[in-house]
Formats: sequence, structure tokens, C-alpha cells
Amino acid sequence: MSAVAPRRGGAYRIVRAVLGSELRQLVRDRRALFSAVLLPALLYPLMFLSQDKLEELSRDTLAAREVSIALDLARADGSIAQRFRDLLLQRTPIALFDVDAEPLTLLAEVIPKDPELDRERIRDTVVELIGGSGHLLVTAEPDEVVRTRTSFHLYFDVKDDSAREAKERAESAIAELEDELAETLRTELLGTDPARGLHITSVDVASAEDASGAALGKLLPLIAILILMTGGSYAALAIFAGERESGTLETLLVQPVLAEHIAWGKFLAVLATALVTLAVNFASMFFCLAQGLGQLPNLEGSGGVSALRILSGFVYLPGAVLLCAVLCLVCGRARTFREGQMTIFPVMLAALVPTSIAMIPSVEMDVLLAMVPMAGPALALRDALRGDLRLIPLLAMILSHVGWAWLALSHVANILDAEKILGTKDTEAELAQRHTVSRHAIRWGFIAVLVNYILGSMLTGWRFELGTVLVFWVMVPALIVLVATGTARRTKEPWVRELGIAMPRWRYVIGAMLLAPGLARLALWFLPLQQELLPMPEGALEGSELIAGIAALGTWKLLFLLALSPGIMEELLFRGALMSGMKRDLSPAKTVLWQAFLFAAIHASIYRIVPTFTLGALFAVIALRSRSVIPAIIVHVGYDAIMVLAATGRLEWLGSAPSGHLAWLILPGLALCVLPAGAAESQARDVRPSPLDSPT
Amino acid sequence: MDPTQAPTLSKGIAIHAVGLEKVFHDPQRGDVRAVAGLDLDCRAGEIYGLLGPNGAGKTTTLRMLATILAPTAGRAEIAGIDVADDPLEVRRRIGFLSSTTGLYPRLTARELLRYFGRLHGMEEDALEARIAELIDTFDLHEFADGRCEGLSTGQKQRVSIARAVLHDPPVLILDEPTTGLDIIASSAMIEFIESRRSAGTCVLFSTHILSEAERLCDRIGIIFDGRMLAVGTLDELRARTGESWLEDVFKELVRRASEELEAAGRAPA
Repeated sequence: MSAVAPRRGGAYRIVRAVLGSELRQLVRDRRALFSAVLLPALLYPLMFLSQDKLEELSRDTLAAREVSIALDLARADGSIAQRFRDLLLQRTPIALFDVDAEPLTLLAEVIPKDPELDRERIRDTVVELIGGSGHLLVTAEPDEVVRTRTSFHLYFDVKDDSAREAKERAESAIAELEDELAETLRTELLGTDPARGLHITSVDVASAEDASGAALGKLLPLIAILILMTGGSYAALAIFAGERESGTLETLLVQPVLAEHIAWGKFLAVLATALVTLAVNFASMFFCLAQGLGQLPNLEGSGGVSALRILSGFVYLPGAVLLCAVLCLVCGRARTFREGQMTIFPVMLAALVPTSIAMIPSVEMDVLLAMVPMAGPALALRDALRGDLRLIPLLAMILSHVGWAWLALSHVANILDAEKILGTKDTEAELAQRHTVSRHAIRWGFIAVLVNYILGSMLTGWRFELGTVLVFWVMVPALIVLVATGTARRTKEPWVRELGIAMPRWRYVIGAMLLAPGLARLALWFLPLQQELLPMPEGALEGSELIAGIAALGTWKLLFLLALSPGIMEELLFRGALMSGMKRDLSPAKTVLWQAFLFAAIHASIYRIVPTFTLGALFAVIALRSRSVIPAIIVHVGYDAIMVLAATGRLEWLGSAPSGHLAWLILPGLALCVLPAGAAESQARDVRPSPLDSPT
Repeated sequence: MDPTQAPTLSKGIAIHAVGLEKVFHDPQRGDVRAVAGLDLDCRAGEIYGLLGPNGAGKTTTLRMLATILAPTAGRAEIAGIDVADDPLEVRRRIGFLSSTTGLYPRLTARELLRYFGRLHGMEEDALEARIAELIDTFDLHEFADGRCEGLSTGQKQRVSIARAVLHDPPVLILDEPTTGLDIIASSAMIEFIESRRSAGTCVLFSTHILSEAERLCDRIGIIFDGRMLAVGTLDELRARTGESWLEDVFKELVRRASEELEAAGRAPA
């Protein structure tokens, strides 16, 4: 007997067989089809449709509303009255009707006695004149002082939206009329306008294609990375983690092929899926724009961006290859779907940060930036669409990204290393068991972030003061109790212990008190620097209006809402309930990183990501060292208090140069809070173990 | 070596292992010696049962022989080829199946066989002919073109067997092939293993079900704590221990081994 004659087809045949089989399975996977085809295809039609509806709604409430105006122009100059009427009629939808405002004139002639009473009388008269349907009464008569001038009176009720709208339209008509009259008078008197000695004509030399390309270039790199992640991550999960879940991996590894060829085939399947997703998404976008279904910001139609220009989008390919290789790496290490899903979010964030930095308008693509992973391709795509892609940075980007991708891909081949996958005596069930407590904590960390995004922002947006109180004294405490009881159920300890409320040693309390002002001073120095590197967009100014509103609150109220409440409750949630779950079966380093990541995520702002990440990590280290949440609460409350007072201009001295020395307080603070405990103290600890000690 | 000239195994040794050892580095528990110096010989046309409790090292041994894991020490040859020197050539000569083997839920049985045939580098024509033959042999007609996710446990098992013998391997390595199967499916599996004897295939399988071993095996190897305690036919093992039931044979061997271990543990103290 002999084996059926095998053919030496080489690597290519194997890679093709793996690729074909993986793609076939993906095509039959409804979830893959949804995330890779349906979702990216429907994104724009849905977005534009809702955009249309919103516009319709807002138009309906404002300019699109029909207003009805009562006129008494009988005593005004005939031509002016006629021209005013015409101008008003241009401001559609509008209805005009004539009334006789004689009763009002009579009222005006009566010598005023009581202003409030007069106002009431005038109101009653106006309401009587314009009836139920009218919104505004306009009267016009020659001015009492300068008889050639016409004096307009507008009577309206400020409480009525339509009345305000009618008043605005009448005012704009009067302004236009005034300009016309002035122009006519100038021409009559001088023949020409003496003020117009100079003449400006601006000519836009950028072609329509360049302009549209530039507008697209601002958007597409960000869209591209999100879409690539959507399509690629599901495929990577299905292809790598799915293989483990279906129990086929061991079989695959006894086939007479090299693991790296299998890995290559799988990687290509992920890349192909991601690119299909991107192609479907962009095709849907161009179709929607071409059909006039919607508009992107700053973009007038698809503006004749030629097919050639769109094809230049291929400069993004090195970025796509790198991203997919990283996705394979991440998902290949995951034992299950769920584990993979948890790791994809950080990858997405890591890819978005360089991309969004590259999208700041003033950033130029130079050789150095071109080599930064994901920033280079984003800049190349932007410049290619704008039509001014330069060769040298492009080459630098391609070469460096081929290098990065090669580096990632050489590790992809190791993913299927059987020694690592099967080389542990633990069964997967045991492994999964071992991390249940930390998984619970991390899962709830994400839930807390989401709840805060949705419910928290709704509450504070609804009424700032009451909303903030509800968030910090109802919503967050509820989360704290849920997380702590969940952990307690798994560890069989009373849930209050999970909060970490224990009296710390004095060195930590003193250290925390030193750290708060030191950190705050450092932050005041850091923020302007960041503003330079990463300027806040126009939209963020709304935030400063909010700050202006907040500044009007009393100092004590402010400190309670923005320092005491978040300081206590965020610490009890993060460094208390969540961290006690995490540190049970994660290493201290992983615990600190998860803390920092979730803490940065809940603050939901790319402009605060560096400070919140750093602070989250620092608070976690302090809480781990001191075995209590209290020092972290002290630093957090103190830091927030100083920052709030500084932001509302109540601590101007802090901005001055001499206060800079306060930053040095960080050093003794860190020494007290973060440095390892002395020998004597660690001995004392061994005698009196804290209930929060991890069981290892 | 040209794979078209697979060595004849009719008289030779199909599996030969000397001093096989595997140490796992477990971050929690330090080094774990899963297999500690194991010798094993298995002839063509022979059914060899590897018997032992959970955690004795059966799976690790079989995985090393199947080239999935590399031995820490020792040597193993399959059909005369060293597993460390040329794992791909070894893989061409073995069919591997374990109780945890799954199927791709979204492929049909036929597509699955085709995929693995291609990974084995089989010619398309020969592959299609072989698939048709296997569908006949294992009676897969009814469900060969339905997706694997819709198959019953027994049907899945038949597809898995067909997959394992797709390339007509001279050596079959089966890791607890009947675990998790119902009576009908597991008796089908036992019949399949028996049928291999007449085909001249060497079958090495692990189990902790003693009756299976009693019924099937030409020779039985009893493995405990990573070491081979005894090898022989059922009669030889009976003679060695003075027990008649395999269960008692097994218990007696484990008892002796534990005593030895304890004695060795006390000696230095």
C-alpha cells in the first residue's frame, strides 16, 4: 500500500487552498456578510437619510415656517411702500395683509402715564388688529424730525417663535431697502461711489477637482481606518479564533504543510475581506454623492473627483496591509471569539490616534511622519486626493510600511506555533475559569464607559447641575454596587470589601496631599503645550461656553459638582470595585494598564487622552501600593478642585511663573506614594494581610 | 525522500520511539514533565492501545508522534522517518484523529475533504476519485453536500474518519477516538479500527475505557505519570500481574509503580 501520490505544488498552492477555503466560509457566514458588506454599504444611505430628515425638521421650525404679517403703509411714501412689499414677498413662505393701524396711532398720541399699563394697551390693540393668524404688525410713516425719512414700527411678541421669525424677515427687508435707497441716492448725487476706489476680485486657481479632493482627503483616511477595522476584525476573529472554537486547529496542524503557509493564506483572506469592505463602502459613498442623496461637510457634490484620483487611493494599501497583519496577530492569540473582541478595541484606538493627528490641517507630510505607522498612509491618501502627493515622502511611507507589515507578518507565521497553542497542560476551560473575576471587572468597565456615554451625557446635557448630581450620586454608585456584588459573588467575600475602603498608612495620605497641587500645576503647564500640538477643533468651543456657564455657579457648588463628587465616586468605581476584581487574576502591570485605558475611555475625549491615561495609571499604582482607595480619592479630589478653580479664573495666581515651583511637589509625593515599601513595613504587611490581597 | 515510494510496512516497525520526553514550561507551576522517558514500538498491521488515567501523558505522547509537539528529549520515527528531522514527510504518512476534533461548520463534508486533500498536495483528479470512494466506504451519501454544522455527532465522526484516512496513511494515530460518542457511534468507530487490521495499517490509539482495549488491541501499553509501566498482549500482562481482568491488571501495575515512586521519594531523605 502506498499513500496517494501527492503533488509538490509548493507554497502557492497551499496558500491558495487556505485562502479559498477561508473566503468560502466567510461568504457563508451571515455575521461576516453583515459586517463586511451590508453595514458598509448601507452606512451612507442611512446617514444621509437621517441627515435629510434632520434638516427638514430644522427647516420646518425656522426659516421654512410661514409667517403672516399685517401692514399699515398707507402714510408712507408710495414707492417705498411698494418696494418694501416686494422685498417682503421674496422672503417666502410669507402672507401679507393690510390693516388700518389708526387705533395704535391714537394710543401713541395719548400722553403716557403708566408705562406698564401703556404696554398692555398697545399689546391688546395689536392683537386686535392682526387677529389670531398674524404674527407681526408693521407700520410706516414719515419721520417726525426728518420728513424724507420713513419710520418703521414693528410690533411683535417675543415669546412666539413665528413672531420672532417674522420680525427678522421684516428687518432684513428693511435693511435691504435702505441699501437700495442709499445706492440710488449716491448715484444720483455723485454718479459713482467715491468710496470704491479700490476693486477686489478673487480667483480660485485650485481646480474643482483639487478642491473636492481636498475635502474628501480630510475625511477618507478616518473613514478608511474605521471601515477596514469593521470588516477586517470580524474576518480575523472568524478565521483565527473561530478555528480554535470549532476544534479544527489541531487537525490543521497535522497536515503536511508549513504553519506559515497556512498563516499566509489566512492573512490574505483577512486582507481581502477588509479591502472588499472598504471598496463597498467607498462605492456606496460615491454613489450616494453622485445621486445627490446627501452631502459631506465642505464638499459640494462629488465635485468631479475623477476615477483616476479615486484610484490614487491605492496609496493607502500599505496601511491596510499593516492593519490587517496586526489584526491577525491580535486575533491569532485569542483563545475565543470573546477574548479576541476585547483586544480589538485597543487596536482600533491605537490606529485612530496617529490617523487623527495626521488629519490636523496644518500637518504636512514629511519623510519622518510618513514612516509613522498609520499616520503615513493617512497623509498619503489625503495628499493624493488633493493632488499634491510628493514622491519622496510617498516612497518613505511605502518602504517603511512594507517594513512594518513584514515585521508583523513574520509574527503572523508564529501564531500557529503548536507549542504555544497546545504546549500547556491547562485545558481551555481551566484557563477561562482562571480569569473569570478580572473578565467580569473588565466587562463591567466597558459597560460603565458605555453607560456614561449614553446615560451620563444625556443627564448632564438635560440639566447640568441636577444631571451631574444624578450621575455621580445615583448612576455611578449603582454601577459600583453592581460591579462589587458581581465580584463578591465570584470571590465569596462581602461586597463592601471590594471597594477598598481601608485606612491607609500616613505616608500615602501625605504623599497624596503633595501630589494633588503638584499634578495640577504640571497639567496647567502641559495643556497649552498640547493645544499647540493638537489644537481643539471649532466644535470644542461649545465646551468653553459651558465652562462660562459653569463659572457662574458658586464656588462651593462648583467644588461639590466637579471635584468632590467625581473624585470620590470615580475612585470607588475604578480604583475600588473594578480594580479589586482585576488585580485578583491579572498581573499588577496589566491591572494598571486596563485601569488607565478604561479611565481614559470614560472621559471620551482625544484631547484629554494623555492626561486621563496618565492619571488613571498613577491612581491605580497609588491604590495598589497603599492597598486603599483613600489616597487616590485625596489626589483626585484635590487635583480636580484646583483644575476647576483655575479654569474658572478663581486661582489666577496659579498661572503665574513662581507657582511653577509647585510642580516639584510631585517628586516627594511620588516618593511617598509609589516607591516600594521599606523592609520593616513589608514585614508588617506579611503579618497583617489585607483582605484585598490577591490570592496568589 | 520521494513520497511516491512510501516504505513498505508489512513487516517493518511503523512507530518507534526511544526515551521520549516532554517538559512544559508553565508560568504558574514551573516545569511540568508530562512524558518522562517513554519507549514504544508498534508494528504494521498491529492495533496498539495506550491505556492510562487522565493526565498520564497519553495525549502528549500521541501529539509528539504526530509531530504537533516537539519532544524535549528522546527520538521517534514514523515509518522510518524521524519526527524531528522531517515532520512534513511524517505527516504525509499518518492519519490523526482526536476526541476534540471538530469540523468546519460552514463547509460541506465534500468541501472539507477536498480542502484537506489539497493541503496534502493531492492531484485534483485523484482527489475527486478518492473522495467518491470514501463517500462510498463510509456511507456519507446522504449528507456529503450538507454543511457540517447540521450533522449529528455520529455523522460528524464518520466525516472525521474519512478525513483522517483521506491520504491512505500507513499509520493511524487516534487520541481517545470514542470519548464523547454514543454507543452506536463508538461501536462504529471500534469496527473501523478493527477493519484497519486487515488493511495492514498500524493503529495506535489511546483510551481509558478498558473494555475497548480488551476487545481491540493486539498489544497494550500501560502508561502512568509519563512512564510506560508495562507492554504486552493481554495474556502477557495477566501473567505478569497474576490478575485476570484488565481492570485489576491496570490497578496492580499502578499500585506497584506508586510504591516504587514512594520508595524513590524516601530514599534521599
